[in-house]
Amino acid sequence: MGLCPFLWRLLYSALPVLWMMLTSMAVWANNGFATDAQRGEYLTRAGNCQSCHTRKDGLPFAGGVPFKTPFGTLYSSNITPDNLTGIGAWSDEQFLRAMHEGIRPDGQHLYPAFPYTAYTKLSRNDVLAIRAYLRSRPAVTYRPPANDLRFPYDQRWLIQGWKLVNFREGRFNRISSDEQVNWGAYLSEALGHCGECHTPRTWNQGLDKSRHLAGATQQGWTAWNITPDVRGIGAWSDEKLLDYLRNGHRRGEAVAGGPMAQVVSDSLRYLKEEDLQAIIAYLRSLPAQPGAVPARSEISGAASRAEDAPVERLFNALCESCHHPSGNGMGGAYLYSFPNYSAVRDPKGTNLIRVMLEGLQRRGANDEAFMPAYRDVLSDAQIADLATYIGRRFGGHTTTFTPSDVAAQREE
Amino acid sequence: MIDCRLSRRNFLQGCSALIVGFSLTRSLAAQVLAPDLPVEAVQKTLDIHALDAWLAIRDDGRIVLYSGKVELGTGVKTALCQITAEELCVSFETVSLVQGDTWLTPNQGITAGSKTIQVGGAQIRRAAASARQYLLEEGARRMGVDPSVLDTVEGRVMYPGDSAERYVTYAELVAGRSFERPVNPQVDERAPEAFRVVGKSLPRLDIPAKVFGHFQYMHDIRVPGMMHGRVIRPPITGASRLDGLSIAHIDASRLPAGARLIYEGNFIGVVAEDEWVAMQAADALRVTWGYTSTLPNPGDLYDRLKYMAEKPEVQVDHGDAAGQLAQAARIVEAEYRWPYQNHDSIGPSCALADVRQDEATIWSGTQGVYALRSALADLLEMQESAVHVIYTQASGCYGHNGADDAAADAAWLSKRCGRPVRVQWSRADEHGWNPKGPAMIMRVKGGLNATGDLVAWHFQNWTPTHLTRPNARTGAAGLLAGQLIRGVPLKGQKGGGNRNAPLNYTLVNCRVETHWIKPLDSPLRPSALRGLGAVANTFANESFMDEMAFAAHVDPLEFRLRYLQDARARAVLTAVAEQARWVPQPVQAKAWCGESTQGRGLAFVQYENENAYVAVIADVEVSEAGIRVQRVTVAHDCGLIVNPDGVKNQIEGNVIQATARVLKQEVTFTPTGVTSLEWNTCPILSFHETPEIDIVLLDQPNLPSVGAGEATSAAVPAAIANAVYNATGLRLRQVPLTRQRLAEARERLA
Amino acid sequence: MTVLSLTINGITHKVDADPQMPLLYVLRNIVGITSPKFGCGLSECGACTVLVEGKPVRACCVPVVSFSGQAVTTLEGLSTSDAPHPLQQAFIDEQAVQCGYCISGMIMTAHALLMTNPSPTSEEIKLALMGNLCGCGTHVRIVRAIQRAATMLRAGQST
Repeated sequence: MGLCPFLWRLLYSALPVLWMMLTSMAVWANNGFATDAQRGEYLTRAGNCQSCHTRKDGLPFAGGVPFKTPFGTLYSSNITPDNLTGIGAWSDEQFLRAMHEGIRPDGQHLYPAFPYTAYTKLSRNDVLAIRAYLRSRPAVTYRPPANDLRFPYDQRWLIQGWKLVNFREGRFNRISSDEQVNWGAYLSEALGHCGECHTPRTWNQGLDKSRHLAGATQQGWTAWNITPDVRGIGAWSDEKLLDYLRNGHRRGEAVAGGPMAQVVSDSLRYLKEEDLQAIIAYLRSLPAQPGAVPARSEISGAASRAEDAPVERLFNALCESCHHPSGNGMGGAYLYSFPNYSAVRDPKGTNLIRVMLEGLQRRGANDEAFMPAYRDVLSDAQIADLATYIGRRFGGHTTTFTPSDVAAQREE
Repeated sequence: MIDCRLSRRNFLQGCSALIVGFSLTRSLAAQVLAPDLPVEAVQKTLDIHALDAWLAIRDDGRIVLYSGKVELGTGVKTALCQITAEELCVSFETVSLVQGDTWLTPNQGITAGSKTIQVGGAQIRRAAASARQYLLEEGARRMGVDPSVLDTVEGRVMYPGDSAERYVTYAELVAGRSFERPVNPQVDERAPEAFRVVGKSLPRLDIPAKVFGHFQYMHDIRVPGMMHGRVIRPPITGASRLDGLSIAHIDASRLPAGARLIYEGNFIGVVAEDEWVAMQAADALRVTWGYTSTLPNPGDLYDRLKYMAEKPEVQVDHGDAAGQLAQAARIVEAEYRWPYQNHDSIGPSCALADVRQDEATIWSGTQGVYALRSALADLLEMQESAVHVIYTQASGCYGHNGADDAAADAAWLSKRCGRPVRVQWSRADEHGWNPKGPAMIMRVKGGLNATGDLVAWHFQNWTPTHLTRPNARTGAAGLLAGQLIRGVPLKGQKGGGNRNAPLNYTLVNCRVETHWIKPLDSPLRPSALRGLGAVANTFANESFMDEMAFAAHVDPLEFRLRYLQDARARAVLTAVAEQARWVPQPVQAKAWCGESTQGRGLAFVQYENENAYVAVIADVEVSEAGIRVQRVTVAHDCGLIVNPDGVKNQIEGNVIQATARVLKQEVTFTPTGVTSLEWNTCPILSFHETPEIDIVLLDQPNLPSVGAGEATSAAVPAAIANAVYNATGLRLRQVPLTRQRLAEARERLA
Repeated sequence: MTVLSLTINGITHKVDADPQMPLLYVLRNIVGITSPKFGCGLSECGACTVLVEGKPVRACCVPVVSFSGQAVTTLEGLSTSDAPHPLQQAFIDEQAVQCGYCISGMIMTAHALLMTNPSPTSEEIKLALMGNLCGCGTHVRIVRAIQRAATMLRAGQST
């Protein structure tokens, strides 16, 4: 049950394309795939090519999404079959080389914002199936902006050096005797590239393999620890994890916002249950990594103080009407929910401030969620006050957020 | 269940049984019958030349005013009753108003353009004065004295000099009959010195019911047998062009029990007895659309507008602007941009329709019952006389919002399902599909001579038409339902975009040109939003006037006064300067370091170049967190003021709305249509952002009243932009003046 | 459909409705109380605000089942026109209405505020009204009316 089922219409009118894709899903949901393109569609979803290759307000797969890195801004490329601006003119071998080796048809190295570090593990057949699917999509003539990188990072030959340190070309190798874990690893590591967000990066922006999936901050959002640590997913039941992955939330517990909301909307909600179970089995098989954000069981909330009165008014007026944190018996989708959110418990408050600025729009397998963005409605000081208040009252920490923290987040 | 429907025939026969049925629809009863009004009394003419079209006097002495202009929430109901009470010499309390009903009220055109008091009020004033003249003459005949010795006081014709204090009441004179007289266009109206009611801040008649919660809005009307309808819209939300649409597939398999699907052409609706079921049905329907989008990418909007525009139409051409510009000692040129903006109705549009074989009744928050009737008659393929449109107040509309379209949705669904249907738009429907105040580009070039005189002015703008309201000319093409059902393209006529493009300053060499854009060439469906083109044009003109003043090294107030001869124009400027304690501004631009800083700016407008005079001073605080308007001082001259507090309420509303429009509001869209589909993406001013507002009203009792509903909106934007310049030295020329635009302007300067 | 018991303005109603139906539609379409208005369905505008156990709630977003057995107050329950509540009187005195569509929500939010804070500053009033939108721009008058009502209440003119 959604907060407001008719909200879907809002999303619907903004993203009509999603529907067409959804309707075409049903044909093969329970069967094998009739064609390479259909298999490719499933793989493309599992790999979530769309989120990174579809800019806000743009057409699917036409690229142009900015990626801010410490070295400057990169833009994703147009992967529609357009001959001039897309990859329509590429041969299959050229496509394979890009996916497996990170090399463009002109021989130049691709920036690793495109996760060929993961895709190199994909089988040749799977890459070609993705290729077949992308070729079946409408061609869009659109040239994304040129990358805006500082010298010397704009020198593509430098990537070769980066690759030497951070990239091993080669297909997926079994990691376990358990076939489910192996399949989950393939889905997570080769296709879903979870680590691109959830694994901390080294000084040179390579993935820090020693802290695999221990949580990291990318593009202004924090991706949480998803290892079996108690501060990761250790205390989550399989049922809860499954719910979270396919719906983007577990009623009253965790919610996916920011890029993870996109992953759910564009990718995970389409996956078959056995595939999600495989991902869960794989995550459970990983070594636990220590987490920075206390678990729900480790924290306790605080009572409001007299000096909180003004921000409490703001909280009553804007937050409480949906989130009902006081447990006074009202329902709604997110009852008693605040302490369950990692965003609220995180003393850094990155995602808490971020979600207030950006809002949230997510489509899960069963329902949809919407939170308005307060970027144009609240001042930096108001958002900082709310984040401080929410963190203290529900998140078990005493970080005081300042207007300049919020101003910095706005720029991200 | 009693059949509550009222046909024209049996309505005019006035059978009492009907009234019983009406108890079920309170507001209809109130509207049609007025308080305690016998049905017979409203068998009336609608001919605007006939007195009976406007007024009726009942046996108990109560006056019924029939107004084609309607109360949109601006207070005109009270003001129109004041005018009537004044001219007719009755107490204010005895006047009641019946408004906006194609069976009952004369056609006064649409309620728009700040014309209700100015034009509609003048008509009503003449009608009331004519009625008084008739009553005086009748009284004189009855009493056997000459009318010149008689007077009218509180509903009586009196003989003041008479020892017996003879009098006869209006009710006795009329005695249940109608006037059977024309309105006298040359009638003497009451002298302002004698005003008892006009000019007073009488409390608004509609407010008590609103604060007690029993005011019946459009959204609250229910009739027996009514279904709830919802409409499922195509992608390309809000686009003008809907011609590339098709429905590939409708999957109704998940439709809840009790819901029914109705569709034709590209129009898809669901109806259900229960509103919640109708809402769920609208969500459950899966429609696969085929469409081609002609909408530009957001960054290409202004290029698209210029590309689509026609050859310029010259509005003003005095002297030799081009020649003088060629010789000017100093030339300044600037381009200003205004975005598409939304109508901020808090209640999304709603309508109720009962369409039968031979007649139709439609309740709507429309601004024009007659215009809507014509368009609906075309849509429903019925005679106009068979369509009865009844105005019912909805949420404030501020122009052409979704009210008319919702009426068409309801009418069509009712026609197809054979039951009365109430259609309530969702928030996304309203934000997405209501017509938008058009985006505009204004480019101005000015020349100064060696001594700093403004010797030439060349203004050009690029604007979609602001007039696409449904009416007899557009027929069904003026209604969203008509466009979707019949595939007819949106229609409109040229207008609105040149409003206040010309200046009121006396400039010898001045050329003003408008490049019009046809309705279908405007990416989003354009139509009237409060002030129309006057808001964007005055933003440009008055910003540029400041730019010229600074180029000439002259204080902006002094600079403006140099080119203003009209005493009333000078008076509002002087008054606002005095009220806000204006001190001449330094003519060197500040260099802003990013610290919080203050500034003030000035703007002047004479609305439509011939109506209300408004001067505004805005005080702003600018910091890296953006622009905050702290105080707005307004001097306002709208001729004779009927209700000063009502005028103030309107000015305050204009200031707050215009502040939001200039600082925050922009309809965002992509090639698949409007994306600002809720309040936070298109915010209205919140309480803590509201400026203090200080108003000086300059009353002109001997001059005609002109509109006060829009003029201030035109002056506020430039005052704010000029204040930002005064504070920071940054000239922001693209609305909205967001924090980001401020930062960009600062970067550009650095 | 489920039969629920709701106490609205002191009167207990048995309501037969889908438990997931938002309270707003139960009030407007089943009970016939129309002062709470539909504005956005997103908890953004506050036009539907009613009080539940004294706290402001957006009736458009919360399923009716959540309110079973609780006391709901709407604008109609504040008073009668013979004996207006000070807030209602103050809104009339200040003429703090234009179209009035938001006013029911404004008064209910203000009522909740004044019950917990009888002497709010204008800043506190503005914060409490952050979730209530007025499209006509009646803001200045609304704040003034709430201050006036607070004064009236403190002076014991409450009826």
